[in-house]
Amino acid sequence: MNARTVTTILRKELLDTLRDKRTLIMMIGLPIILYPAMLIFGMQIAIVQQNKLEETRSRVAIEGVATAQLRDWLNNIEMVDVVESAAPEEALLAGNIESVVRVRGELDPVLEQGGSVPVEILFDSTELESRDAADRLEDGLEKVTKDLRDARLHKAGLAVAYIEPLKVKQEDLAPAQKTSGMVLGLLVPLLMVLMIALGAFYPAIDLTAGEKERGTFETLLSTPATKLEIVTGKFLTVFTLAMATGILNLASMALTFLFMLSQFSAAVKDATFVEGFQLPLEAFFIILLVMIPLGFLLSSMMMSVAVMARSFKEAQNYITPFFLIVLLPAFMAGIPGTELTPFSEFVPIYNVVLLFRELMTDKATVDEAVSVFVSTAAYASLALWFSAWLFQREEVVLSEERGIPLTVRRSEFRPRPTLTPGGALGWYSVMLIALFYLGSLVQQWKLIPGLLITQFVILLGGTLAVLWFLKVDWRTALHLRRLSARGFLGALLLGAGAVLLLIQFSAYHNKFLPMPKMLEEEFMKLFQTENIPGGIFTLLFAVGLAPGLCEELFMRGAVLSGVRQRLGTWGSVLVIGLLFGVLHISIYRILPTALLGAALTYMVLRTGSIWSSVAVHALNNCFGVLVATGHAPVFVETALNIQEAEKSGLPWLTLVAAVVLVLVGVGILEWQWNRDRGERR
Amino acid sequence: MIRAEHLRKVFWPPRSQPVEAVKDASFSVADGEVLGLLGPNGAGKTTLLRMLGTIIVPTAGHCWIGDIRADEAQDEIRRHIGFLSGNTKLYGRLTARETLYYFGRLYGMADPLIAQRIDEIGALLHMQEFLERRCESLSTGQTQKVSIARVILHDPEVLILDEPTLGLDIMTSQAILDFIIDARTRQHSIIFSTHYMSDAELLCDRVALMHRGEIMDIGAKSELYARSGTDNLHDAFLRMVEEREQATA
Repeated sequence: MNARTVTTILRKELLDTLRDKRTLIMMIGLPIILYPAMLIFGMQIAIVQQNKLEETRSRVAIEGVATAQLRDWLNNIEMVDVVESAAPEEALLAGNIESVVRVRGELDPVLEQGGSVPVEILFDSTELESRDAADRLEDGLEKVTKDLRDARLHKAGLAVAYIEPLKVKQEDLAPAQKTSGMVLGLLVPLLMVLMIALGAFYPAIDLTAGEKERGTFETLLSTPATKLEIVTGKFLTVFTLAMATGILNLASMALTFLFMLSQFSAAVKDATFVEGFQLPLEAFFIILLVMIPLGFLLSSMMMSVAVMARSFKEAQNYITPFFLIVLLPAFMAGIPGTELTPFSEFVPIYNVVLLFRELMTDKATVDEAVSVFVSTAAYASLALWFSAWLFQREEVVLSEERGIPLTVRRSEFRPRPTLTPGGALGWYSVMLIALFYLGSLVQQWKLIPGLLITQFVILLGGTLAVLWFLKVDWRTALHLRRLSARGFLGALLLGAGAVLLLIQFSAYHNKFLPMPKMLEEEFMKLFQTENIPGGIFTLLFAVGLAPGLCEELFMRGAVLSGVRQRLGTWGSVLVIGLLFGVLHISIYRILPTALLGAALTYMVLRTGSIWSSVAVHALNNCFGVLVATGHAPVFVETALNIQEAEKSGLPWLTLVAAVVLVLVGVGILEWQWNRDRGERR
Repeated sequence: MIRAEHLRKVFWPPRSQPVEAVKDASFSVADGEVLGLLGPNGAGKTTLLRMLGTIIVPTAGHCWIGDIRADEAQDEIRRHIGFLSGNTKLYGRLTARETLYYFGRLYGMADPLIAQRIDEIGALLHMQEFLERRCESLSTGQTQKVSIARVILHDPEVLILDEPTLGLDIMTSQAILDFIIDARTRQHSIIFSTHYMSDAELLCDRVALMHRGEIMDIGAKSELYARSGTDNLHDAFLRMVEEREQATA
């Protein structure tokens, strides 16, 4: 991919879009003018209304015995006037008076005898003035009640405390930031998803279906720019505009909000809530950070939908229901009581909104944030890969047919040696998501059969099926080559050394990122052999051999052979290692697994054979099973000092041996590789 | 030089039978030669030209531009092609100059070279007065000139023109025809499709007659007249279609 071509397309599309009034209004006009205008204007009206309400006197009628004393009490309440009415309730409903005080039975004699008189305040809840009058009456009569009670207690020679043995009071200890975080956490993420989606809406349509409708797409396709460069340039434009809209809206909303707060606190007397309201600044930084994968996801999803349409109008028809579907998880995340769980961390959009909320109330953990980042990035790359794939399809970009032009036939594909780099990463994303949903589902059902289904059906079966459908040569793509004896030896020595060094690394790793006890116990449950039919042998097969074979054919086979064309040897070692780490879906395992993954990738690239990494991966896992179940030979236990090694590292002699093993292994592999290369020349 | 061997294209429209838009087309166009592609709507002319322009991929067969095979170096091959169709439009919100810069950069040209080419072509096609105007405000003739400028900006050896005079007035059509004649004298290989028999009579060294995805006949005008027993392309085309229909019936 040529960077100059991509930036040329990006610059042109930005210029073109910014000259479009429709986009400008949506992107800049709306946030800069509309929100402040709407909110401030609305606020002003609310303040004026409130003041007007406070200055309006309440007309109150009495139903029942209207004694002089009751009349006095009511007339003494601020802003209340007692009026005469023959039918008070009708007058209230007709809006002629604001409230009615109903007294059942006699008032004065009962009070004198120390009794209690029921007093009801009638009001019309649909009328603001009436609700206000009821509040005034309730406050006023409560004060009268208190005075009467105090007088009675005094007469009886009792203190107020006598009838109040416990003084119950609530006190909120939550820091102001947390309170405001909770309020903002419900509102801001939802608005942000809405704004980014809105920002992507018009550019996504204009740059795809709009371009098709205007007849400029064919012109563009006739240039040397590849479809991947075109889709990347266009995607970056949509992404930039979506982010700009999101940020502009957020900034405009924040400023309007601050302005409103100052207005509100000046206008309203009881401003304790307002005074405690603080905008958590660091939260805004985090929002910006999470906005990036979210913007990626929404932009690429919208482009994928829009490119299938032939015209602007048709694209709007496709994208509007999609827009609502996107907002649904965002709304759902606003329901009180929803929170991040290991499951919801992987539900797209829903997870981001929940993470925001938890970040703003200081509840989110690093592990949760990483999971949300990783899964959102996986969905985003999948969506991006999908839109790139759509752009490659001529019936999509040049379609003159009605309806969504989306059919895939095996006969359309030409035989090819490996997946494309984009295809390999796309398939990796599909598997990451499938492992999470399907894998956890079957493993929760039954652990060992679930593990086997995950490995053989999802990972291996899925990969082989996709390679077959796309007419990819299994032999080349999966590195199914004979492994020479020297290659095997080199891989074995490197593998053994790497596994030992990994134990050492894990000891350091545990210090700065210790696995929580709960997770560790959960992990160790896997190794309780007593409940498993076949005991240790079943475990060795399911946890040792199966991942050794299936994970390798997937990662070091299909994915590696795809990306190595683009990334070369060392880029592949780094990227495939990291992707292998991420595949294990836990922040505590990413780095150690990534290191092992890098070593496995290196040996496949040097031997050219998948069997090198299959052997080392399987041996590593089997070794782990033996140690965890206490089946490891005694000399291994002592040489490695296993119990201590995980905490304080390996004995130094073992460490030296490990380094030597790695060096000798690498030496053999490099020597063999150079020799093979010489022979090929 | 353009060469096509056994080109075939099948489309699979949603919910209907596959359509064979081009069936086994083989021909070549030499340097300095103009090949006209004649045929009614739906004959497969646009599909054939899009395959040559590497905008779509053939279901079978290959084509070459010079020594480069299209499916082996798709991006490279486009640097040697200028593709213009009656359907290809310009970006309304860019000025003529911005449009030319945009396409020049996509063809990998450096900015000073693009500036130089714009000066040359601008003078040639009398475009200076509207170079700074947005394309949406240009007349049809001016738009067509910008399109031609875009096609020849990177000085391609091969021109693929799909109904370039469709819907244009006489003056603008003439500008296009002049441009084709000029390109031929500069030894470009040109293939162009048209409905207008008069354009073909005037310009083409050889003509290919297409009907229902097939090239029925190809040759110099005199050869086609002789084979069909007529004295103009219009009658020759009708006669061949008639014969073909009778044979298939």
